[in-house]
Amino acid sequence: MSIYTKRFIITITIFFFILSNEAAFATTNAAYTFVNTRSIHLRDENLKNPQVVDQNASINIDPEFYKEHLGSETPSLDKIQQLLLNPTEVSSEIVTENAVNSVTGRVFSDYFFPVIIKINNSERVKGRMALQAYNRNGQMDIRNSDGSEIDSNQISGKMKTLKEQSKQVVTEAGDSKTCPTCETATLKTQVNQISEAITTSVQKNSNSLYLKYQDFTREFLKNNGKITRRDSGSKKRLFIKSLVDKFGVDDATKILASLTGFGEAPDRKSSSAQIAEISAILKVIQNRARVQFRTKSSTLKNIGISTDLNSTLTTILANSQFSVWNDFDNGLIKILNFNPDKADPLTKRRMAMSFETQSMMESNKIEFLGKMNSDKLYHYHANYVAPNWAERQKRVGAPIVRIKQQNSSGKDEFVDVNLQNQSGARHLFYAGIR
Amino acid sequence: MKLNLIFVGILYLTASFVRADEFLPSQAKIEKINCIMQKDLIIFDMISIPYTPYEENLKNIKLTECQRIQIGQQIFFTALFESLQEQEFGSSKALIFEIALFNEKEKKLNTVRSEIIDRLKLQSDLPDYNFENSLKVNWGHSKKDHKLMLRFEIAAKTLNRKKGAKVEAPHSYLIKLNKKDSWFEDVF
Repeated sequence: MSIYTKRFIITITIFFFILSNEAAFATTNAAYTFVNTRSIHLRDENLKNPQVVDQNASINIDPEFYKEHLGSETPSLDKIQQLLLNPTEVSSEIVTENAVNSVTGRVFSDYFFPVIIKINNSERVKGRMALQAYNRNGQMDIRNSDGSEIDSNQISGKMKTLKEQSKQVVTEAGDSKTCPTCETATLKTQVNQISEAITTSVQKNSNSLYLKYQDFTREFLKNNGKITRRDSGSKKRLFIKSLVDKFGVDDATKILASLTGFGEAPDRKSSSAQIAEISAILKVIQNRARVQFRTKSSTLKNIGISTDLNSTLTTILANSQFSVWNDFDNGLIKILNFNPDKADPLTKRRMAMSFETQSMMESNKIEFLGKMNSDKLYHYHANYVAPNWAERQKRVGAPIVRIKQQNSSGKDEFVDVNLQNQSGARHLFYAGIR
Repeated sequence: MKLNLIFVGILYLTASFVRADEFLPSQAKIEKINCIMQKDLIIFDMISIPYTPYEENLKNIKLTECQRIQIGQQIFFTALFESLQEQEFGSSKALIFEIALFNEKEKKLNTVRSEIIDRLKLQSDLPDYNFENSLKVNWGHSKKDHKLMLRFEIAAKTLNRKKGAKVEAPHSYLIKLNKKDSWFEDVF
């Protein structure tokens, strides 16, 4: 081989080496830019002086914040996703703080992330932003630095399993006052078994309502395309009418109840905690339906369905009750655009669990303890809002949900989940407010 | 052959029943009128009958525009207004459009449609406290059964962060007065 050939080969080898490393460099150091098209107020270190961020700015969470709480300046996507969905579950040092809404003057509570904003690719501004406000329903909006969407397949395979993490057992067991019969070792086994049983049940039940619902959503998306904020109201009504036409009132109501649980419940890593959160929403719906708590529903009226037809249906769709059914709500848009084949793993998991929880409620596999079992449990709100109806003395202090399963020898086992002990965004429940 | 023709005829007749309804513009007399708030009630100029908004838990209603519409023998009053609204989960600011049918015999105004045109949740900071959506209403009738029909067009400002992003076309949908003349229902 001549020297020129050798030099050529060496040059080409070096060229490809640089090229492959540049690509790796670009991937591992890609600035995953959090783009939130709704929350664009930048505040100073003390959460004062809100100013509107330019529409063309790119917003990045400060890498030092990532390093402090996630162990790396460039964490994986699944870690960023978890951080945005429920920050305190990722790091107990991240807590909500109070700020003042600049227009209404009202104090509100939220998670504020330190951000670095690039304007016109040159100027950098530091501050803090309430990024999570528009992601409480688990809606991911992380994009590559060029603005393109991130394929859900890029999200780590770790997110695709439903196995319990053992440290969650301690959270769910609560202390001896709330769960006197719980023992950590036994409970760990029970929780894992319950989790496995749920996973198996959801996967194997080919006649489940959820599978039929998935077919419905594929058809709906095919006929209507992506739903935007602008058409979410009219498309919601079409969605509900189509559900009732296809499944009948009773099954459509079960589906809507499951979707309400999906949209309203806070996100939880632990399967049993997730089921507990969803079931608490369904319990409130049940109680309200029994007494016809609210009977005015513009949605039903607009599609020509009588509010006398099904009390649970009316309860779910009553005006101004469950925010996920409000026109233009982010949670509604997420439901309408749910694609069972393309949704990210967390969303798919939560959707499956919502339907499974609804089914478990029907077959009495879920119990509510203490005041959570009250027939007058009609209200809840997120811990980061303060509605004017919330009377502190009527709050349920120990909101415990018991999930039951049968083990291989047919014996009943259970795990108690104290919703008060869950970290981060959570619901506060009230009994006896009308 | 005869059977085939009969079959085709039945198919055609069936198809004609399921054909989507069509909107045809009508000669409606539309006039802007004055309206004021009196406590929580809307008072339209020309009639001194108070109107109770259909939406509940409203506060600080700010009227934007009121109209009187006459089509044939029927008279409607409409109100477009902004309001704070206390909901179960917190406060929001809503842009609402309501249509009331004037019952001349009973001297009453009955709501026949209440539409939320836009809503902003107020428990956090927002990029903009102005509504993004606007509404255009076209009055007409159904080609199928000649019932009163409206075409709503909701137009929105672009939300995209990137410059030069496409402005979405307005979203339009139809609503039709039901058989009892008690409510405008969505047409699917």
